[in-house]
Amino acid sequence: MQNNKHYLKTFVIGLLLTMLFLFTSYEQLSTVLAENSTTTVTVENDSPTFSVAPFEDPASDNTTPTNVGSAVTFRATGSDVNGDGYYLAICKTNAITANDGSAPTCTGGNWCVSSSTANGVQANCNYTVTTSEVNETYAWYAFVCDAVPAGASCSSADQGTGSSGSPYSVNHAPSFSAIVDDGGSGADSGDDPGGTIQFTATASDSDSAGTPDTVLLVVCADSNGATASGCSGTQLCSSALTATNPSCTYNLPAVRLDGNVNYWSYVFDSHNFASASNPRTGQYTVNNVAPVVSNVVINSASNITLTENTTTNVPVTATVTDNNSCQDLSSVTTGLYRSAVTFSNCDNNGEDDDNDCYAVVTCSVSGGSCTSSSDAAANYSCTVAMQYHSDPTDTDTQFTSDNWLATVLATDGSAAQGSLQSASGVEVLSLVALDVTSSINYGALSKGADTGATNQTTVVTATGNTGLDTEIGGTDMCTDYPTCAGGVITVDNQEYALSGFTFGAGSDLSTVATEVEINIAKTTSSVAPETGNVLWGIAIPGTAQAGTYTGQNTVTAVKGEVVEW
Amino acid sequence: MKKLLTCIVIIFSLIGLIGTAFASKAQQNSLGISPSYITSEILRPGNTYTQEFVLSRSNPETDATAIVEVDAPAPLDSWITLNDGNEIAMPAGQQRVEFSISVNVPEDATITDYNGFIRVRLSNNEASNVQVALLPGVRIDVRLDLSNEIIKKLEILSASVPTFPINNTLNMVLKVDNQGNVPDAPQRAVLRVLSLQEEEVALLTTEAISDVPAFSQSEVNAIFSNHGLTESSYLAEVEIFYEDKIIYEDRLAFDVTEQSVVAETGEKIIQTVENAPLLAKVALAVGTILTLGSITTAFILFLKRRKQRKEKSYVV
Repeated sequence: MQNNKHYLKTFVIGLLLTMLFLFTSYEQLSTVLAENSTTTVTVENDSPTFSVAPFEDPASDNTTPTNVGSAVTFRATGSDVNGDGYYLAICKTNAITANDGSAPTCTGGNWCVSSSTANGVQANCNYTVTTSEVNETYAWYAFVCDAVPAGASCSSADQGTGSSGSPYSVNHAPSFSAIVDDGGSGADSGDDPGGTIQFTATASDSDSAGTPDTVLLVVCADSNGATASGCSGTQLCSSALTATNPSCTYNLPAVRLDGNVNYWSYVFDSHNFASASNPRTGQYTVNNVAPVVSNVVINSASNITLTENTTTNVPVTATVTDNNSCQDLSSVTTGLYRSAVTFSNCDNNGEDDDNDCYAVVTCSVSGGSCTSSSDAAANYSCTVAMQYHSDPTDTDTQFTSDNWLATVLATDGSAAQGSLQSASGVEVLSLVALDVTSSINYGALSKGADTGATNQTTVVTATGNTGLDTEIGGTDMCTDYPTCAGGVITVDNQEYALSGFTFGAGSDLSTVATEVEINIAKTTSSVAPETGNVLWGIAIPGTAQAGTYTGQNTVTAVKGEVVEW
Repeated sequence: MKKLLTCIVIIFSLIGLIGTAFASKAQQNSLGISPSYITSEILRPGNTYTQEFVLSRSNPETDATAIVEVDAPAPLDSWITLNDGNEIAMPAGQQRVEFSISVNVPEDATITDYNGFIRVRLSNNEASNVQVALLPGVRIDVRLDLSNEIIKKLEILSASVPTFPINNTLNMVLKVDNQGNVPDAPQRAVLRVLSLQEEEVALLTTEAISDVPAFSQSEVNAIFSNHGLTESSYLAEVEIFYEDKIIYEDRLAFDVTEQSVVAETGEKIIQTVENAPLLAKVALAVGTILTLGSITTAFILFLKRRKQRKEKSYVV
């Protein structure tokens, strides 16, 4: 019995030693067995583990959420005691199935699965956030799974930690449904140059996790695009961040062509994420404003002196300012008129009257002004060709209480008008002038003879702007005029009268100028000027030497009495 | 006797033919004057009154001369001065010729009315080919009423603000017609400066306006210092006051430009040369005297020491 026990003890000890031997010499033994035996032993694979925990790169959290359309990148490093490759799987739920020879399968769906990655090497995968991610956060579960043909298994789930851990955050684009421009009187009202246009977007952002998102508006003058920082091209304005409906104000330049102007508007959220509706376009309106006339000056502010029997160019100058640009002006004209006539009676060509109204005289831009569309002001010069018989307004005339005024009328491309009358009138000075027949021919007469009832007629024409009387005077006629050392017919041998006369009944000519009340009316038409006749006769003294006699008479223009004009 | 008569008839016939031939050329024979008077009712003894005239002829094909003759009783005739002489050249091709006549009223002139004429006629110094040449003339009426009263009457003919650099004073140019018989000036000028949008930018007032001599027109500056305007284009409404009444209102436009570098340099030069303060000038003079004195003293000391050294050498 004791021997049996001893044998049993020995057997057990032997068995244990054998097992110890087998255990410690497994590899050698298995080789021996393999080489030497057909017995098969299956040793199960170990699951990989995270040597570097999973994380989002960059972190996707409330502060820096991932925009819809952008990708969340997940990274982790897996380690496998078997040295096997592995997959990084980012699952939507905490459930995964490893697959032999292929990527694992997330039971609840995955955000992304990496490609097979060598043991100890960082694996990564991306998920591009789509509009279907309507929530602001989404949880994720990371697994590392064997990339082995058989016996694949996965680690347990890891959600990372901190801001780069699960969940990732989604930033949704702000909504932007409309843009409105307002010049101060409602939508699309427009404003004048120098005014303001307020742009208001109908926009908001539904994201509220953490700090609720806000929105801003950027308005550009061109289609070159914009970011939340501003326009790539020319910027009109940008707003501050606001909860909803951002607006900004554009100050129109002081000088701006009128009309509708295109603009492009953009809305961004507080994470600089652009609205899917960007850009929204519109047109704001720069109103047309009427031109302003200033500095109207007639004849350099000097009285007007006319030129006998012809026209005199009289300048009228003005400055015209149009805040839609001086290039917006389509016409500038002036009317020059006697003050009692007034501009309203001298503002169309049908009212032209060379005595008192010069209407619709075209003006032209003076050189050097209005050189660009950003210039508001242009200097204009108008030349009025005043007839010699224009009404005088100075002393001893018909209209002494009047003067001459000019109104400059400016019209722009939209038919808006501005006008200004000269602040100070000028006088048209009286022009006393005549044109007279240049000579008298008495013909041939015998000594002691006279011209009898035969008169020589000379015509006096009023070529100024007053009624006329005349003074008549003369010299002796001589055969050697003007020396008069030879034959002389004294001046008093000539007679004159204002109508036909028989010699002896006329007035004797004198060397002293004598006023004659010829009473020629003021000329009112250059086509038919007023005239008067002076008739002449002569007597040849019986003592006169034979010869050719010549002399000079003077017909002097004298301003007539006003009542006779 | 018959032969003699025949000769006379023939000669006069020839004259007639020649005259007819020239008369048929229908030459223009004209003259005009504007204005045609020298008139004043407010001249005071000691005043000088000058009137500008324009002589004109519409068809100046040839040179001509206008003769000016005074036909006025004494003492008026002696008061009249033909500033351009009594012969006014009227060149061919020139329709208008200006000249002036002054009336110088003596201090001891009697207060009464004085009337006369001045005639201007075209002369014809060339031998005439016609029997009687008719020459055109014009008459200037002289009517002066002397007065001892001081008459003040001003009219503003125009106002303008020329473009000026930003740091300069704003000078509004006023063309003033002093129709009174003493030197005079507007009381004050008020300029309401507006932006191009016609919003008030500044309201400026000045009384710094120069006098205009009696019976004359001239341009004077109304100077606005410290206008405070920035570089821009402006509109403005101007009001000119005289004897507490507005005698002129107008709308103006003007530009303020950036400061001119040339102008700045010029001002600096002017300040250095002409406008140096009196204290600086005195300091410069004292400094110059002290410097010259020091140099002279040093030179004298140098000569003395040199002499002393020579004397010491001699002693040794």
